[in-house]
Amino acid sequence: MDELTEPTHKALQPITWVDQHGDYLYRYAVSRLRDGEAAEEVVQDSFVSALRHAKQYAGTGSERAWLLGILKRKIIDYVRERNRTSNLGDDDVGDLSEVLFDENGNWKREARAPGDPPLDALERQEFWRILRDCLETLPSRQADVFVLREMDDQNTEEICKDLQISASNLWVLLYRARLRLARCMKSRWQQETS
Amino acid sequence: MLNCKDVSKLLSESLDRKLPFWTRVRLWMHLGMCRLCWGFRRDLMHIHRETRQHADEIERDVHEAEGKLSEESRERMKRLLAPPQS
Repeated sequence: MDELTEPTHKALQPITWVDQHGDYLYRYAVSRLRDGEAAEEVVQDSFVSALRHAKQYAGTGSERAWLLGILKRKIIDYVRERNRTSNLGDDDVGDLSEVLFDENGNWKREARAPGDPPLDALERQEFWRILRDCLETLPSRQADVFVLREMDDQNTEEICKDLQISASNLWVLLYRARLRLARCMKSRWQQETS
Repeated sequence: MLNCKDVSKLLSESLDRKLPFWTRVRLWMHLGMCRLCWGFRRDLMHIHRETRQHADEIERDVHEAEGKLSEESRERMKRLLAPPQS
């Protein structure tokens, strides 16, 4: 009997995982990684890892929640791996603060005007569609830290540890990401309504 | 006196760490006088709250149609998960 592939709990049914949870896990991974191929890779890794560690499944939570927990870990590993090669300098191209403020540090007229409609006036579906488009335009590392911090609500110590960056580097990356997102969302929205 | 650029940076940082007391005082003094920074804060907070609270439910809806594993990888994964033939 091969103990690697034989499920140890009746509750776990690896043979049904792909049909039952495959698309759900895939969508989750795409939303975090913004890359279909990468998403397939982490889903497959998660299944293989789940099979290998089937004995650790406590049987208390749902199978899907357990698989999702494994997937989240794999996503972080993937993000860490793809950011290993880039250094912080790459992100300077993404620093909009030089563009949006004048030499005295005031908002430039074209960057922000008193009558601009606030983003919270957007309908939720619209908000998300525009956010998703704008995330694509961010330097990859800025988008990655934004997703970990805001969508996954990870604490900053964890992110620093996972990506091996200092706290102040993380604050800078998040600042650039948020500034760029706010700017991008605003201009997309204005383009569409004008 | 903080300028708008400083304020935008501090507003972002305030979402990730607790700012020192006097920094917060200076931040709020600026916000009290500056409509543009107030507007930026409103946008920033909206993005912050919305992404945290609704990321998962939205992903389910928005990607319902297009987000599917390819047939090819589906088959490959099934083979990996199948019990040994013996």
